[in-house]
Amino acid sequence: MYLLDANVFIESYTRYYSNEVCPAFWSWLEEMGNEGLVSSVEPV
Amino acid sequence: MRSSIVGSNTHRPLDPEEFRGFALADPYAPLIFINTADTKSAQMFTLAHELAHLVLGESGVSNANPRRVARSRVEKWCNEVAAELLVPVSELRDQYLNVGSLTEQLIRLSQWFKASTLVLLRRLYDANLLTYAEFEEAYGPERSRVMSLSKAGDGGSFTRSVPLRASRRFTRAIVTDTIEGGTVYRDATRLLGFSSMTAFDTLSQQLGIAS
Repeated sequence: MYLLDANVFIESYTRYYSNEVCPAFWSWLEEMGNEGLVSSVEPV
Repeated sequence: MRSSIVGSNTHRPLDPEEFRGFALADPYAPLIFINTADTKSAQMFTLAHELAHLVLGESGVSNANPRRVARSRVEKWCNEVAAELLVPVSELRDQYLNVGSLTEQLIRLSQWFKASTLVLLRRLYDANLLTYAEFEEAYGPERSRVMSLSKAGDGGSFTRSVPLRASRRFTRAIVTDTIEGGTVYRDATRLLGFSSMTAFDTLSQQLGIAS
């Protein structure tokens, strides 16, 4: 399992994969989370 | 860099009694920080004092107080350099006229030298134009007079204050590097002292870096 910190989300959203440009990234991320392959801490 | 508050917290002012400024010596990027919760002329003195530290190639925290005799040799030297830079003794002797009250003198001299009346009071003593007793006696009242004169400013715009606080050069460097991808946004906002992305965008627009 990979633990993601705030930077991953901030940089991805702001710089590379904003929701308009690449929503697939975020649905993929969500699925990874559901399968238990990635996770993050509560505040993030 | 100049600021009068801790980070971006307007409820935590920096006490000039605690420290007036500091200098970080570095061969590539030396830095001076001035506590702006202080009179303008006091800030000038601190700037000159910190420059003296950098000339020595040393870092240091400064609570330069013209009244207390500085214990450390380095502090004392930096004070002397700053004082002589702002108020050269020879010019002081030329400008001094023993006419009118001491306060009137100090005000006139402070306008000429662009230094605080307190520094001038000390310099008059250094130049042997006042005895130590006269200096001691005049210092307290003059300080009270000066402190009652400074007034609070208006609210001001937050993003416009960032480049002033963090220094324009530093702010530009951080914002540019972030946009180029060399710094992550989280570090950039933390270094510049805020936490909102819209503030970051506004700042880069204001600096003319992004549209």
